[in-house]
Amino acid sequence: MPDISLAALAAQVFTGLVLGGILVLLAVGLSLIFGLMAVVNFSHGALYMLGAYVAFTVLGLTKSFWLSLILAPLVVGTLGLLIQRFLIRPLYGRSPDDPLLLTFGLSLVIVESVKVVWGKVGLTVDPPRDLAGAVNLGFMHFPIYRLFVVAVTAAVLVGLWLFLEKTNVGLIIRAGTRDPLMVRALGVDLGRIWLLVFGLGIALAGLAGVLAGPMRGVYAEMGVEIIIECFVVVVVGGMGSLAGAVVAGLLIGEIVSLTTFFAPKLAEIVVFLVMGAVLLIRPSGLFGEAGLAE
Amino acid sequence: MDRRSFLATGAAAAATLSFPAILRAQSRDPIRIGFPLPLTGTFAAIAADMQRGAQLAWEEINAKGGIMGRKLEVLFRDDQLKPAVGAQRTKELIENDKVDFVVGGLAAHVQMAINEQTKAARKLYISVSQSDEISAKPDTSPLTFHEALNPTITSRAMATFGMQNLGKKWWVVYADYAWGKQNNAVFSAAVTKLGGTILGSTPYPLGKPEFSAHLPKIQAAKPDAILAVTPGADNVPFLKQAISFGLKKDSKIAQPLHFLFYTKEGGAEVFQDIYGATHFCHELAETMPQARRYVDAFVKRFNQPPDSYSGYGYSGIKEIARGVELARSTDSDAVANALRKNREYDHYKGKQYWRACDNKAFQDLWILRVRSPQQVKGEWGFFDVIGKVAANEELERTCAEKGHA
Amino acid sequence: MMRAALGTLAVWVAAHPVTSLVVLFAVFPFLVPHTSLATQVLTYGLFALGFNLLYGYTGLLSFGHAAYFGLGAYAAALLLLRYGLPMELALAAAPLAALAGAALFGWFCVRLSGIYLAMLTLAFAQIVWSVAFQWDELTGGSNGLVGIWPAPWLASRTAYYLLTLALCASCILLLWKIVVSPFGYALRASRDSPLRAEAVGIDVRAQQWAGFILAGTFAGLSGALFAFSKGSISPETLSVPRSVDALVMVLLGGVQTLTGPVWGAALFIWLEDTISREIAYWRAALGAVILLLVLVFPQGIGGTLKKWFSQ
Repeated sequence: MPDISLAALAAQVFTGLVLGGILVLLAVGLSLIFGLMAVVNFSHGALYMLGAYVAFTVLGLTKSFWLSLILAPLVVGTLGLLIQRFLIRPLYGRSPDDPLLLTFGLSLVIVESVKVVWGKVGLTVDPPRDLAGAVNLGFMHFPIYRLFVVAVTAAVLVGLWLFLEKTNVGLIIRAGTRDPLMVRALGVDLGRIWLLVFGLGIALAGLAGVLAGPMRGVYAEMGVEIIIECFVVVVVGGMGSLAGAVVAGLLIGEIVSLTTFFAPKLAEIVVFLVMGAVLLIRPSGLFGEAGLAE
Repeated sequence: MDRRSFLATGAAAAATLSFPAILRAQSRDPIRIGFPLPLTGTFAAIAADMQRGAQLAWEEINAKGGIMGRKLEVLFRDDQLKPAVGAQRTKELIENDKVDFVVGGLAAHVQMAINEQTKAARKLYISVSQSDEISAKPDTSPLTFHEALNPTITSRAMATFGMQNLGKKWWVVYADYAWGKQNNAVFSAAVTKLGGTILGSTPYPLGKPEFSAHLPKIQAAKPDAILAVTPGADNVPFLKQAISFGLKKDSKIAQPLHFLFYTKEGGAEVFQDIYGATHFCHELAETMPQARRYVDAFVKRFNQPPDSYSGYGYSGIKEIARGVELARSTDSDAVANALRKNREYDHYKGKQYWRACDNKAFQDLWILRVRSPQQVKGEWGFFDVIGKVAANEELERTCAEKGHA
Repeated sequence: MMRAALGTLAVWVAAHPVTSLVVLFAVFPFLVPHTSLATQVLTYGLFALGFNLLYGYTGLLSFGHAAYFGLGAYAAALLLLRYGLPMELALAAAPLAALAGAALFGWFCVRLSGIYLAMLTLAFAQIVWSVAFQWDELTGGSNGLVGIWPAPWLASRTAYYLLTLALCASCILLLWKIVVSPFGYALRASRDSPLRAEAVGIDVRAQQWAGFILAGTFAGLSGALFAFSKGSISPETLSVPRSVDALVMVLLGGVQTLTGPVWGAALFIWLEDTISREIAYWRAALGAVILLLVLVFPQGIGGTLKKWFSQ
């Protein structure tokens, strides 16, 4: 039986990596927003959920999964722009807890509004025909759709990295994360950058939602559950660190997968045990900087 | 808003809170049944169906002149699938709305909380969903009746059928809470007793339908069949994910309960050849006159066929009515005794009867298999009824095992 | 003239918050036929008060305060059911479990700050929740525990309500004493300016730990009261939404006021209980109320009323 065990273990490890995919997209968006604006966005999960619902509608209207993949994040991202401009910007200069509470209230409104528009019962979304089915990897059969999700995540991360490293706007964002006072002293209007970054982060959440729908179903509570995991990932990685979000996302996905294999009863809390352990050794997360999250 | 209008509004609000008291004193005196159920949450679809069944019963009873000439009123309340809310709503139904009886509860933990309240207030309670504990000591009482099937009966029936028809090596995936654990325990014991093997059983958190971490292990073990104890909204994602990992090609899949609603939502392509048990499906109307009458009335009223749990709601309300008529009283003890003395009843799907020691209802159940997309009849004809398991006390724990004398 | 009379009354209320609270809540159950609702308001009010001690006065945001609420509730239930203690003793002893939990978890939590601290409190709460949910033999698992009834002399709704009122009022008094004591000032100093506090010789970490423990103990008492008022408890008393409820109640009532959390609890319970029965999407209303409060009334009800009436 050792052959099967090894193959099974390899399968489990691989599954763990893929599990992290959606989490990484969400964590990167959250970390981006926090890193630049010190805003803890509690509505991130609700907007992820909204992305899935919008995709469902676009799919219904256009019958094209690919269109929904492009349009839904744009719609949700635009909503993100509006949220930043009219709800979060007025809170600038006030207690740092205010955006937290505001985004929490916002998440309630979004979740209930979704129930009004799309109904209380969950919806079903199917992956496109070309992506359905499984591929034989040798040590296991793996769904093609999940591989697609990894590919999209990787592509988005590469694009984001290029944007941040190679463009002027990216330069300003990186500078603004490190020293907002200095950037403003240099005459750069951070207001518009904040708007852009918030919208971008939210669009990433929406994209994650579109991708998650065919795997897990589309239902109003889907954001509530994942937001906690998402926060754990961001905290473990370090608030404001994108590399941290990626590493932590993959790490958490892997740990959950392996725990499910060896000790399924612990799978639900292992993320918290890991987070607790990480925070006690490195109080600002793996890649975080002290003082950023006060 | 300025200070004065703010205070005026506050006073008005306080006055409004006391309004119901006035209203109640002026109305006639109908017989009231409180009905807490999870209209929101992961079982909302099932609850909506159960509400429709109860609604139909209510309307039918009043159309015939009510009970003992008095009108019947059923008060539905959302318990949000939370025991504390269920307890609170039940308390309010009893203390504020002055209900005479309680029917309801979906999910074991909420039923227990409701039962605590009805026991304390000495009101008859008919629980209408699965639970092993509700009819056993120490939680049960002479006023606690259990209309529905429970994990013991369902899993034993499924184990017998499964071992005969689906295979000897099983894997169980179950939601990690009371109902899931009970199904796992009973099913595993029954399969082992019949000579089969449980290759493994994996718990997952209820309401979190991300199963990918569980599936490679199952893939590697290659069981003959998988028992998916994945209730409510987890049902469809589990099947979809299992199929996407290729599990359906190598193994048969069975689940303790089939629901028309989720089968339709997932579609015949996902659900085809999935086996499950149920205490009622609308296809029974083809062979049974009572079912025919029920389904026709239901379709006429709601424009869709009944799912299984509607029957529990329907039967629960009808049993209260029957008990009150027999006892000629709305006193809970009198009604309970009347039901125990006249154990047999048949409201919509064949004979059922109450067992005296634990007020447990015994009823027939059926094994279903979902048809392929080509075989589905019309919009709702998903199920092939492939076996009947007649009401049988051997499927349930004995009175002694449950703590009764 | 009406305005002047109301103004005088309002000033008196603001000056004597505890007395007016007691008076109002003493007559409250006779005004409305919902005694159990009034008990719930006070129970959650106490929970929110404890949370406010942590968040408002110590300056630590916690997402896991329900853990201590739950520890108190389960301790009360277990002491009654498993160890056969009389209800009165169980009620008195239960908060000690919460105290122990707060001492243990708090020690770790105060070593962090900001969102990291908040997440660690959440982590501990989730772990406690998971233990309660899975340890069937001890906690009843997902079914929870039933049969937690108050002693016969407290069994009537009114009697239990008066008990809750008495305990809640005592706690408010105690809280007031704490807040105006040197310890209370040191606590607020640690919150407002940790560096300066350290410079003056205040051990900020110890202060925060003490605040954490006190807040947890209040929560534990409210949990025990909750258990006996319901007759049954289940793991959802420990869940994250319960923790967030405390935050919402405090926000509604006003972070900077002593009795604000109780008013916040009253509004919240009223919304949750009464509105949720009439309107299907009441949580949207709650969300909108929160948005409104953050954007327009950052001091919450209590704070805003205080500001109005002190003009």
